[in-house]
Amino acid sequence: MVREPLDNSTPPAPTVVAAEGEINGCWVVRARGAIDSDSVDPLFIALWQAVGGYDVVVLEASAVTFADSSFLSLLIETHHRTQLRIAAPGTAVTRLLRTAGVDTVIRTYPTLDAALDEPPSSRPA
Amino acid sequence: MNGEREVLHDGVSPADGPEEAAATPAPTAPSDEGAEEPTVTRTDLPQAPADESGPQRPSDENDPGSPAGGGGPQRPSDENDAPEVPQNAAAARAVVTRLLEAWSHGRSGEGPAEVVLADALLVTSELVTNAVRHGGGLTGFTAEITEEGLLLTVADASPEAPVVTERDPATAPIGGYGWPLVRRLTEWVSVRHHLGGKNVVALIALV
Repeated sequence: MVREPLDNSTPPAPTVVAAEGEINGCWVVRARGAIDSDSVDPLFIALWQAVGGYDVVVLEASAVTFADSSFLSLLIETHHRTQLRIAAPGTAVTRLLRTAGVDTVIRTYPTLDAALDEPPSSRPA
Repeated sequence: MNGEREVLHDGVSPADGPEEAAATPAPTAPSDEGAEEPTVTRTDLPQAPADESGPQRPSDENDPGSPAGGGGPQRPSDENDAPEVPQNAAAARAVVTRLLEAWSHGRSGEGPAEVVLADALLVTSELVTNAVRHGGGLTGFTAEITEEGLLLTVADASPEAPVVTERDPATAPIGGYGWPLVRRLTEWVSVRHHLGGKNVVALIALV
């Protein structure tokens, strides 16, 4: 049965993972768009696959226009399993991290290059 | 950020003085917890929206635009005047974005401040997602500009209070971050129970 879309429904958005790949030994995931509990799954899969094989995972977030607690909890889970770096966060992501109080825990970098340039650190457990 | 006027905090409301207790305890609320139900009934809201819940219905069947599409047969007669219920959090965020942009343009000729918009959308998303995922479905959504700020009313079909457990971000398992974000970004949040569900009302400062 095909249900007609509601007048106020939003068109299906493209996946929130725009690209992913290895750069300088880091796994880079480029996210985009609005990330909420309805759209987060592809990013969840991308990060989950990355944490097993890479010491440093960079999330390039410049094209993320919105993110809510589903994104936040994914970041925290990823952070617990690898060195997660957030590159080029915009207002929405920066504000989310600050409001949640994790901006001092999850590292952010102004650019992707800055996130890639820093050598892997040996974090205390 | 404000942490002074949060109404819904561990079930008490220190800032607002004695609150009228909920008149009718929800019959299906879980009783296995000894904690006081975090219910606050506000009767002093100047623009408290009417209880428009009407017949309870799942959120994916309310399509006023197509009466022949098999919607609920017991629509209230004023249904045409009521705003449509957004289908999901993204649609609710779009409503708030349009409202704040119109308000801001009418006020200053410019768009809303990025941080104000970001905070409003985050609260909207968390409340609507909670209604959809844990509240038995979104049954109503209104956003309005008041003298105090942006007033959001999110209605769902569950009489149970929202999960208000706050977790430490350093040690928390996945999930559970939404409500603390809502509390930190709002002036106050109240939960008003009614037959067949509840309204979660939140005020976001627009400064």
